[in-house]
Amino acid sequence: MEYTLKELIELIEKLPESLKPEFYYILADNTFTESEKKTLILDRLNKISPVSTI
Amino acid sequence: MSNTPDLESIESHQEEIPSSEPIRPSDVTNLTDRASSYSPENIKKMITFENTREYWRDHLQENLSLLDRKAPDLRNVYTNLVSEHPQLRAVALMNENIKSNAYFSELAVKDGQLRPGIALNFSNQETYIDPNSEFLLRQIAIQLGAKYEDIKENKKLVTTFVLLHEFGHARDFIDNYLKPNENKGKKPIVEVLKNATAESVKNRLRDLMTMPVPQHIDLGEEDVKKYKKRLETFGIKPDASGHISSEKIKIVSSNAYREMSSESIADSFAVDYIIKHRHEYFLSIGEQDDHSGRIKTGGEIMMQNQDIILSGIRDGRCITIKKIAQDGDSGIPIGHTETGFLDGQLALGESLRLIQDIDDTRFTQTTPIKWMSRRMLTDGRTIFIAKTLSGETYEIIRNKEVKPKPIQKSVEEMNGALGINKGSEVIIMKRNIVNGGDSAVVIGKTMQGRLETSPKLGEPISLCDEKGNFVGNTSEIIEVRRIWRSWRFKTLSDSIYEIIPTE
Repeated sequence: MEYTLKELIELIEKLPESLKPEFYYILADNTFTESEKKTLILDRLNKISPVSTI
Repeated sequence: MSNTPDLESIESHQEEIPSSEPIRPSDVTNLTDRASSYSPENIKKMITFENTREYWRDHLQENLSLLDRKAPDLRNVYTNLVSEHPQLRAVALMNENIKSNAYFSELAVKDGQLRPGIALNFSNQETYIDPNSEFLLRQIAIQLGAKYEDIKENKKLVTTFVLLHEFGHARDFIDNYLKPNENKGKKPIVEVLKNATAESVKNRLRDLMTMPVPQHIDLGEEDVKKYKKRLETFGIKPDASGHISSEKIKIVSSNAYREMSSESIADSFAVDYIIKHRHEYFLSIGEQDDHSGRIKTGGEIMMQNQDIILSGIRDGRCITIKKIAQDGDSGIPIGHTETGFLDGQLALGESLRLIQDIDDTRFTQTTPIKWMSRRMLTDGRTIFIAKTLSGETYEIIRNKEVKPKPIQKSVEEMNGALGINKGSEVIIMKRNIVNGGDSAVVIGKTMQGRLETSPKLGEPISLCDEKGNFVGNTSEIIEVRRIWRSWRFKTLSDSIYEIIPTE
């Protein structure tokens, strides 16, 4: 299963505000293809997606 | 002709954003719909003169205050660090609720100002020693010359390593991209930061494309089949029943990740610091445990199969073996050395085989390995010892900078080696960054389809789907090369593609 860009953006929304700018930077940089953006975003999200508060 | 964009003509969609407002968190919903059409123009609105005014600001006092409140154990490390590397005082430490470990961001924001920042999860420090981080901790143990069992519960050492690793990323970004010695006070930080961020992200992408499988692929069973041939180029082969071990993919991927230049720079920074200050973390030889959190290091540590891969002794790695002992008689004298590339993944119970290249029929091979151990020398280097079933003992040295060379081949050799011809299903993965026009960076872009014709020199490669519909094409092939187990071709437009059969 591959994440869609939309699903990844929903995950970015949950990040601490202080860490969002570089994700926006990648999303806004159209020198990257969609698969490249996914790769770069997942690389970062794997490390910092929020801890479950359950 | 289909409207599907081909690999040679990736469109840089240049739609202007109507709003002149910088992106705010509340705009994220709009991003969902508009992300694919955002213009590079928007980047100019994200890194501005106004929000970079404090980028070089000194955060020493704030950071010390935060550490005193949340992690006093790390105060001394931080103080030493900024004393040895004063440029790191510009890095802000932040307490954030992130999933694990720590994280360096070149574009962290606080009070509307961008800054280099390291996020740490002080409120849930147990995440530093996440049981899912076994491979990472095993690699740290190897780099520090310690036992995995000793460091996995050692919060002081692991949190220190994690903090230092992130400061290693920060130093890499500051020294190698922002280059304050060249730029500070000479160019506006807004300009320097834009260029540095662009270059850093591109280099990270290059790094990520050296992983066995692109990171956006969540390897399901079908994907494993699709990437089987690519996984083989990393020494990951199916077992006798055709099954590919997901554990092995994880171990090899973990090693490939730590070998990426951006990660190895950060790791080396952390290891160098800890070795320089080793008396704070390790007991001296003969010293009794004083419950200070220091651990034993040095001496001979036995290795498991996963440690062999995680230590970087993996398929395609250039290594030198030196015979250092022999039980009984042997025709090979003590001191004899051989250098070559490891052919296949070394494992306990299997032979160590060295070759000069995969086409070369000459090889050097030991009898099966009975056991392997590692030992860190006082200068920080690690040596590996392998004992064979026939009683030979070898020292194994990893040669860092030697990589298999690209070898020029004919298209026919490529087709034969990969078993591809008209109708074969392949993945084509772009391997280089093409600069031109609006700098269409397309490294790592993949396209899957069936070959419309058998690849030939001077002809393009064109892919179609199962129904014969056009999927994409390249320009004319002008050169073919093999690098270790992978095959690449260059086209008239200076693009380089890796071609991977899926069946």
